Parts: sequence; C-alpha cells; structure tokens
Amino acid sequence: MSPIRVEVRLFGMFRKYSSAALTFEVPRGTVVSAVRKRIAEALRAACPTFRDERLLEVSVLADEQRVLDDGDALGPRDRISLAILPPVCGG
Amino acid sequence: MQGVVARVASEPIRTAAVLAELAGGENGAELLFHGVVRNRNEGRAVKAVSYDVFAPLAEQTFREIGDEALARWGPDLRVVIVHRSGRLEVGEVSVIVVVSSPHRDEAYLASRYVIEQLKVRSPIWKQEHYADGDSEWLLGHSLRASETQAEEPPDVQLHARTVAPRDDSERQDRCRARG
Repeated sequence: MSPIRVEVRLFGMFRKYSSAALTFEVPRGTVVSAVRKRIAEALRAACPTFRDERLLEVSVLADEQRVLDDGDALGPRDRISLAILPPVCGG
Repeated sequence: MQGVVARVASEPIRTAAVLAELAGGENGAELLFHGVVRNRNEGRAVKAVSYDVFAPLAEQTFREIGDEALARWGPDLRVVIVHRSGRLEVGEVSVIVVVSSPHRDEAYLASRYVIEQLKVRSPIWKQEHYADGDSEWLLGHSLRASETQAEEPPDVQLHARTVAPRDDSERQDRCRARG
C-alpha cells in the first residue's frame, strides 16, 4: 500500500525553526500521535538546534476545518496538508 | 445580514463598513469592540505586532463561536467578527467584534463571550516587535485538550491554561543553522 505524503505548515513560534513547510511520508493509517513524532524528526532535520519538545507537546495538529485528535488516522488520500498549531494568543 | 459573518483580513479594518453589514433596523442594541495594538506589554515598549493566522480554520472557529452566541442569546442576534493578519503598528485595530440584538443585555453578554472565546480558541499568534529592536512570539493558550481544564464550564474555560513560561535562553533559541 502506498504511503501518504504529508505537508505540515508551521505557525507562530514554530516559524523560527523553518521558513518552509515540513514534508515527509508516513504509512497509510498512521495516527496523529505518530505524526507528531515525525514532526519532531523533521524539525530537527530542518533545524539542528531544535530541542523545544515542550512546545510540540502543547501543540495540536489541524487541517483547515478542525483540530485533530491524537488517535485520528490519516487517509485515505495520497497527500494531506496539515498545520501544527502552538498555543494561541489572538485578539 | 443573517447570523454570523466571520473573516480574516490582511488590510486595515474599516469600522464603518463593518457596521454597515449589520444594518437592518430590527435590533435595538449594537455593540462594538475593538482590539487595538498597545504600546507596552509586560514593561517593554512595543512598536508593532505581527499576527500570524491559519485563516481557514480561524474563520471556521469564528463562525462556531458566533453560532454558539446565537444558541445562547437568541436567533435574533447578529455577530460580525473580523481579525487582522500581518504586521500592525501601535494603535491599529487588530480585531473587531460587532454584536446587535433586540435588547442591550444580550449584546453585552454575547460580545464578551465572543472575544474571550476567540482569544483562547482561534489559531492566531502574536509576535511583538520592541523599541529596542528585539522581537518575540508571545505565549498563549494550548488547544490540546489534555492541556486545558476540561471539567470547567465554558465561561471559565475563557481563562484556560496558559503555557508556563520557559527561561529566556529557550525563548530566544532560533535556528542558527539556517542563518
């Protein structure tokens, strides 16, 4: 079964670690909590000085319609665009 | 207009145009809230603030909050929410919330509800630019359920958990590998 190509857009405090979105592949059915670990790896690849694990821990993954739960599985599309959202402070 | 209007704007908010969206004559109370970039925060002189916004989800969140206000204070309520993105100078309007209702009580309650919920639920981030040339992303409210106090009623969740500050060296830890 072909993997899913994941693009993760960075916002807020994450922008200081990479100016571009992160991209990687995961097996179909991968859950959000596992994607979070892949994001940590991708951030370290993009920025070797990244070690803000706490920021990742308090952040959520979302698509354009909703915040995803850690147990949600990715699929069935071949490509998916997500965003990693650090703690918010609008207004 | 009917119900809720919600959007993210990259251009300055034109208050008169936003108010015109509510025109209709059926509501006797009209309440306007402006969020404005202020010139100091936690003792530091602020020159400007950059707003980073995940616009599609932010607009979806605004609509959900507006719909919740209608569910709580009646279907006659009208709500307009507009939030800026990009760099704003001190004194510029960052967010406008306009609520109209048949009577003033509902307008005051709904307006407060909308702005407080917006601040802790909308995917928006602020980077302050200081007079000394430094810039810093502000800490905020986690959207992760395990980081909030889920047992609290909605109005208390307005003040949901703020992420604990880290030491300054970590805050300033930018990626030097990319220059």
